[in-house]
Amino acid sequence: MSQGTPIASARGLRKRFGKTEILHGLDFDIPAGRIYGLVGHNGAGKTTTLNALLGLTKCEGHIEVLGMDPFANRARLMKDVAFISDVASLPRFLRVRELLSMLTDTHPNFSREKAQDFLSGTDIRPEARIKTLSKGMIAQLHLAVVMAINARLLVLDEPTLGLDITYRKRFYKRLLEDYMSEQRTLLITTHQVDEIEFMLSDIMFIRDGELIAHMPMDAVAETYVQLVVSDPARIEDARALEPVYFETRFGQTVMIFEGRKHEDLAPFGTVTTPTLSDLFVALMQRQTYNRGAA
Amino acid sequence: MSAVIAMVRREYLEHRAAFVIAPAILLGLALLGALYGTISVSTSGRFAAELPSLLIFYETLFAAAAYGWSVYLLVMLAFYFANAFSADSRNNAMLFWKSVPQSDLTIMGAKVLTGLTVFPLAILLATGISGIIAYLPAFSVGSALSEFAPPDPGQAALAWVQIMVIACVYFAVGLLWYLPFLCWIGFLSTIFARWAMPLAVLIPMVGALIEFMATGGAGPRGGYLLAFLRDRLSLDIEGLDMEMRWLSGEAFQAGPMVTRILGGVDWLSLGVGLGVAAVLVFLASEYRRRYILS
Repeated sequence: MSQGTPIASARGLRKRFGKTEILHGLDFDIPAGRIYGLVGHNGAGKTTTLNALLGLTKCEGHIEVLGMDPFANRARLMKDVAFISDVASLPRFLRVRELLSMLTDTHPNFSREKAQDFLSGTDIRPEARIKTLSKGMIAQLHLAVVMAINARLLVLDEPTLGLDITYRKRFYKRLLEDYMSEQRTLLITTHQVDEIEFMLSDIMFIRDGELIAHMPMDAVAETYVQLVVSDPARIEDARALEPVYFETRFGQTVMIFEGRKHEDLAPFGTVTTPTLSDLFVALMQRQTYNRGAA
Repeated sequence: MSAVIAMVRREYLEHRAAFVIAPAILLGLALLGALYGTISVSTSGRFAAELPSLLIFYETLFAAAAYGWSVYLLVMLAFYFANAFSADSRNNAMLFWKSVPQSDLTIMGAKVLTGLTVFPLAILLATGISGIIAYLPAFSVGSALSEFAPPDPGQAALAWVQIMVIACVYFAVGLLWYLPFLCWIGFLSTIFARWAMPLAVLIPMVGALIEFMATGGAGPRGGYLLAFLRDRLSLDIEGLDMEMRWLSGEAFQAGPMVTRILGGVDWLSLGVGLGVAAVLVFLASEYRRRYILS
């Protein structure tokens, strides 16, 4: 694979469960050395997209990860790809040391020393059975295991689901400081978008199986603008500029615009760059099955 | 190779209860019973009249225990195949096992290999220990009956070796003979999980019913399918009848018995069965690769 070749790419990626199409022809490239956030509402197709990238599910269209068809070469691909799809998925019957021994013998790029080093600052004992560990400890163990794999692509699907804020912060800090490098690519999905915003280099928004936004984080500030209008008399003038999102909260009207300049909006109120969670709420507006906006 | 050994070790750790812990408990109970027998032995005059020698008594006890262990092994292996082939799907653990760079065929193959090696060896060990424990009742009876002397330890040790050699060959042949049925259960377990055991019986029954309706009951009793299965499920080897041996007073000789076992096997049927087993394991691995998590 040459320098410029993406780590992962998809063209016309479609997935159908029975008669329902979950992914509607996604096209994207993920270059090496980036930290990607894949964000979307429940059921948007995030996990299905990740599963397709990991070779766990067969899809229509063309998909390539590290130059391979992931579905046909899952075992080979996993030498260079590490993933956590559910922190509670570690085999519960094993002891911690048995898990590390098993991975040492089955994974050519796993370093037992690194895993033990990552675990050294935790309360996890080598003799402990995984089923006796707390949820936070299992997450710590799982992260130690994937960080001990010399992988080129790390995929994390809701890695901190159900964990407390202290642990979540520590999790991402460790990931950034001890694992990430220019040679490695990280693809992460989470609903706690504010917590990962600081570390992302790129963002992909997926809604109802369609990629509705895909851009570097630098471009988010250039593309989206948030306007808070306090003067009711100016609301209609601002709405005439066609915001992608409109909401009234605490007597103020919040609008998010796409492709508008800050200076064009400044006369109507306070102009800022929306946070990822603001943008999430704005872009995930959709009609639900039971009527009403989600 | 180390990867396969690691996967076999993992199977052992996950399923050792039925093959190590339960037999250890049974042996403990047998030992307690045998020790109790040494202080409370009582025999009738009729028993003394029918007893050819205490060495035969010891051999019969041990051979019966060995036969019992062979039945225990087959039953437990049926449960093992029913459980192991779908165990990875429990608690979302499949997501972890799919992250290990080993093909589904390797993982399934390791399950079969464990069922053919580690667990039978554990039961063989239990059989050997049973042979040692069986000496205690023989010794007690010898002490209680004035007409008989307890079996000579040297002779008993020789008998132990003879029966163990026969048991090893019988276990090996039995495992290979019944492997297609075990793999059939494993294959169904991959698809239907906990329903594998009833379906393993139900599907041939439905097949036989369809055959009966199609042929109007022509052919052998129960139809061709059931007749074939009846024949294929029995491993009758002439000359292994224990009652005959007791009556004749003939000591166990490994050489002739092993020759009889090997000569009594339909090797063509066994070979075809192994081929069927290989196909079933391959199909199970393909199902796991293509459809589980999809």
